[in-house]
Amino acid sequence: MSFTSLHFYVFLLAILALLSVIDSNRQKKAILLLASYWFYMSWDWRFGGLLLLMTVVNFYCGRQIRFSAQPKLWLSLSLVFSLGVLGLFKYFNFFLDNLSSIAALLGMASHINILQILLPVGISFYTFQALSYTIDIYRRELEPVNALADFALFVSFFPQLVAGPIVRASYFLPQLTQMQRATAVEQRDGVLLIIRGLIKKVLLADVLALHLVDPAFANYQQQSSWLLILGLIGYSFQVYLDFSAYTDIARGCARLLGYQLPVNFNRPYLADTISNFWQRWHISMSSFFRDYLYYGLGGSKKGNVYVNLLITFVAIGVWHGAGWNFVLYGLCHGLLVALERWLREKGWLVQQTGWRWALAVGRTFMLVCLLRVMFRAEDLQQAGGYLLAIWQNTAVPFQLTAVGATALLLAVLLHGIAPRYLEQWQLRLYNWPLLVKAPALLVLLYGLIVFASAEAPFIYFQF
Amino acid sequence: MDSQLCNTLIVVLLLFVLAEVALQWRAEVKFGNSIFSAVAATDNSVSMFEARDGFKILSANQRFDGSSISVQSNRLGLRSPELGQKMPGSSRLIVLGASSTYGAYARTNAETFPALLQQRLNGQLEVINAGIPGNDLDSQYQLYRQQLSGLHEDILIVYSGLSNDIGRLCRKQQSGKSYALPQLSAPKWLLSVDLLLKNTTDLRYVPYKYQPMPDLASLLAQYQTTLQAIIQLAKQRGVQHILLAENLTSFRPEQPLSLQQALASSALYYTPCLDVQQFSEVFRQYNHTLAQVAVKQQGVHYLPLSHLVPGGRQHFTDSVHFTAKGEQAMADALAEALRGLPEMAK
Repeated sequence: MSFTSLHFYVFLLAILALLSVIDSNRQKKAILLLASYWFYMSWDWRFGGLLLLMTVVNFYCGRQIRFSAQPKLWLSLSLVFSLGVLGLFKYFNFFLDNLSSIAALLGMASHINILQILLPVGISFYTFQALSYTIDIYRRELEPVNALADFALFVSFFPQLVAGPIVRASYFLPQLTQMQRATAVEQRDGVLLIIRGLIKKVLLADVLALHLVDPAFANYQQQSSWLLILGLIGYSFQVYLDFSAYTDIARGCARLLGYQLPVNFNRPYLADTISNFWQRWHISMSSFFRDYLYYGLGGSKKGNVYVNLLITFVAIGVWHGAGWNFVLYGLCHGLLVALERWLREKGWLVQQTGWRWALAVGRTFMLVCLLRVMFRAEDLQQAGGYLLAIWQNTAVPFQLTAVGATALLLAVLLHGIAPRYLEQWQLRLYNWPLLVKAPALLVLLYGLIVFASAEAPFIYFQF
Repeated sequence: MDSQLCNTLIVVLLLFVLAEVALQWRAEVKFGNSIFSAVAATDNSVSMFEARDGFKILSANQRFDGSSISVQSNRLGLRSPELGQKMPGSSRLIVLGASSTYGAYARTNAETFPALLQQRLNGQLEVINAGIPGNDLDSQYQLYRQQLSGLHEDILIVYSGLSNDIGRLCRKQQSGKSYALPQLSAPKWLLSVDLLLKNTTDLRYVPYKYQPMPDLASLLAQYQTTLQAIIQLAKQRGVQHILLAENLTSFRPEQPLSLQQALASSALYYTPCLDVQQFSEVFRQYNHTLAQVAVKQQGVHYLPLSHLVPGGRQHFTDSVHFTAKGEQAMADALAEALRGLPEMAK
């Protein structure tokens, strides 16, 4: 049930209609819990069992961590189980594949068969949410909840279930204690966020994919150097628009339901360093790794800070997918962040202003785009081939459709607009007279129909 | 819910419904067929098409009057004159096909190429138009087998059209069992969605996008098998001549690529997994299959038509459907071919 489908909005309206006639918080949570499981099982009903198991185990571990005499043992159990399930579904075949390659290198006959394991959508997101609960209880930063249903709703809350933002238990669980009804302003903001998300996803990200990114990556050997360069830039904007669109729609839906979800992006391509980029990109995930892994390893206070950084960034890379390209993606980012830290310590990297800041932003953006090739390519060979083709295909004539060029330009402009201006414009549009606003929205709806494609799921669904 | 928000959503929905109603009304006025007539389904106002066992057909003995198109169906559910008993010494010809044979844009029954063909032959032959939009070759075989028995036809022309056969190429094959819960989707009869998508293929077409050529082998084999079944059935019925007509498109490889892309717009809506050259190649391979089948069978002839019916906008309204001039050119080409047959020469 994609956020861009008619089905989803019928589903959302049905839930809102049902909630509007309910006064009890308990009933509201029960409806949302059922709706969330229905939402998740719409992809594959069998995965409902997995979500339930993840919920029950972590709920029980949470209580045992707080109330038993062996909190460490129960935390370990929660970690082993949750990461074990994630590993089985996401990384097991990668592990077997590499084991097989090593056996072949050593001249040993390999009888390892790759298993047909289907990756449950959103597993990386809800596993981390469940873990934030048990770890925070262990750290005495959170009290366990009494009701399994509350914890189940926290793990499965449908707006952010399959592609985040990764919500901490300490952020969301307190919102479940009282009946939350969206105010008129929250409803307005919720709808505006959903519309913004749909524009970003359908009219910009998917159009960029269709006209620029997919042609560049599908046939890079035959494409011109300029198209390949624009393909990399286009992909950076596509992935940003796609993912931030999901977050916008998730936050919009949550707001309509009376809840808040955290901001996940802050104009990441205006970062002036790679470390600053990670403070602006997928904030809920990078802060999760910072708080639960980097600080857990000792951060800058214990052990070697550079090793800690590298481990954290390799883990971030691997979180995205099982492949050496993701390992290398994380490692490269880790090396750059470590280098920046070293330069900063030496006093060679300082906060810039004016044109020096613009140069720093340009340099960071180019680095991010260049490293994105590993993120988009199916393997390292394709990533290398793509970069080589940029160098080699200078004689190939450049072609790009007007639609593709327009989408790229609009993507750059939209990314550059400060959130406060964007919100002001949205409000101005919202306050247009009804007879102007409604036809404009109808035109927008027609535009969404023209470009909506069932073949373009959100990129982060695969993670 | 906030009243301003609620009002806006209601007005947008109303506008959408109004636009849809206007389009349905336009379809009713122009073509005599819309969701209104489909829902009403009274004696005077019925849906134009009915689904039978494996094929589509017109509602029998109905007249659909629109400002652009008027359709009169006969008792067999064909856009063809009423058929009586075949008179001794007379000859009958069936043109089996899809929307191009039916005359999707022909103003009246008399302006379809099968009717024009009958005129061209000065009444020597009674021509039956057995073209129904949406029927692929399998459906055409079923229509021929179930609906058109006992007509004692002497000649059969197959102009299968291909669009409905090729449409299958881009449909996603379901791999294995699905465990997804059922999903709602927009109804297929929504004209606003249909018109929007059909008229905006250019916005989604990327000429430099690499799309692998789909594997045609199984579809061509099925096409060949069905053709052979039609031929075998026709022979059992004592048909003397079977003509397999080349399927035509408005876009041709000799045209500039930009013109080909413009002309192919409606075809690419149904087959988004192909580019223009690939679409032409698919047509070439299907037509090659027709020719191969004709060569191997006695009494079966392949009719090359592309040199007699030129591509472009004068002869085609879109990628495959004829203009009035195109219908005339088709009738001329078929009449010419029929005059070459021994019985007709007499």
